[in-house]
Amino acid sequence: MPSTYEPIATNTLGSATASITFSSIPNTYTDLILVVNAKAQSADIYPQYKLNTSSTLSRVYFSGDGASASSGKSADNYIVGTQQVYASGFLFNAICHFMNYSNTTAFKAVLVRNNNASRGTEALVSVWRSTAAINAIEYYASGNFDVGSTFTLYGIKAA
Amino acid sequence: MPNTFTKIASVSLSAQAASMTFTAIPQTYTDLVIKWSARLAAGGAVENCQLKFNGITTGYTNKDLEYVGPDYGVRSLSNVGGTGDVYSGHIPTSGATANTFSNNEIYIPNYTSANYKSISVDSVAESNSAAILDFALAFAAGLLSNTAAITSIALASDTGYNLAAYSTATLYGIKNS
Repeated sequence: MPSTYEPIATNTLGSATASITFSSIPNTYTDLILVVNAKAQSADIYPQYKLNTSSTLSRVYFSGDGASASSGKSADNYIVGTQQVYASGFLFNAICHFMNYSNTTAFKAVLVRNNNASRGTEALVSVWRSTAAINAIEYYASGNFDVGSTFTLYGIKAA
Repeated sequence: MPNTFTKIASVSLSAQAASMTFTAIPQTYTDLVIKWSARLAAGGAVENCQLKFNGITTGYTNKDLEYVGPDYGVRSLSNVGGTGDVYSGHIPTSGATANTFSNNEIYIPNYTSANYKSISVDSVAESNSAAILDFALAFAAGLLSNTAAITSIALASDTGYNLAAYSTATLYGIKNS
């Protein structure tokens, strides 16, 4: 059986930073999965992302805060979702699945699960309106991710 | 480069049992994934199941997003099943259509860290029935406010009903290097 779930790069923060970039992503996989487990340094922050430095993303989401459910859609919104990374602890995790990221004839779909047990949970899908292969992912926020936050990019092969 | 999505252990019930448990979980991975499929041996409607880490019985919280239907519709709840364990998925009961089992996935990042443990849960329980509370689709965020590394995991129903025969659970480890 081929090796199909391989770590491409991982970043465990030794110092607080507002941006993590995975660059020179090889095009030898079928899909990518980004796993995040994070804490904000001070103020709560919304994760955002860019693909190949572009933020031409639209999204539709389905979210719950423990009291009510909501859904919505928006265009040109590079905020990953409605869940925040809290400064109160490592409550936030995200699993982002980039489908057929190296395809050069189709726009790219991204499936995301965001979780913060003190704020809520959600599932969303984004579309990056570009036919370019994804070779870089920047995951960032308006404030810093704290020391100890982890970001790992995996590659999955269909065969 | 190694394949880093590795099976650690698998449980398949040959007879009904109160729980499915993984013990002595190696501390050599980065994240854990549990894929499990189950049904309850009793009960009348879809039920939620819970999990405990390391036998710990306090300090759990969760928020879910679920469609349990048709009566409840789409809703979001806090601390489903209480704070003595954490929500781990919906599953059909003996009152559901015969031979229907749930499909659930639990993702646990950084399970050996000295931080609190956050989890992600995706769950479906579909019985091809329009009966009350006979199907569910749910997502959940969970947290154990405890810094101990996770060494054991127990899955059980919230109501105390046994898990039915042929329920299965597989624990996988993922390495980031």
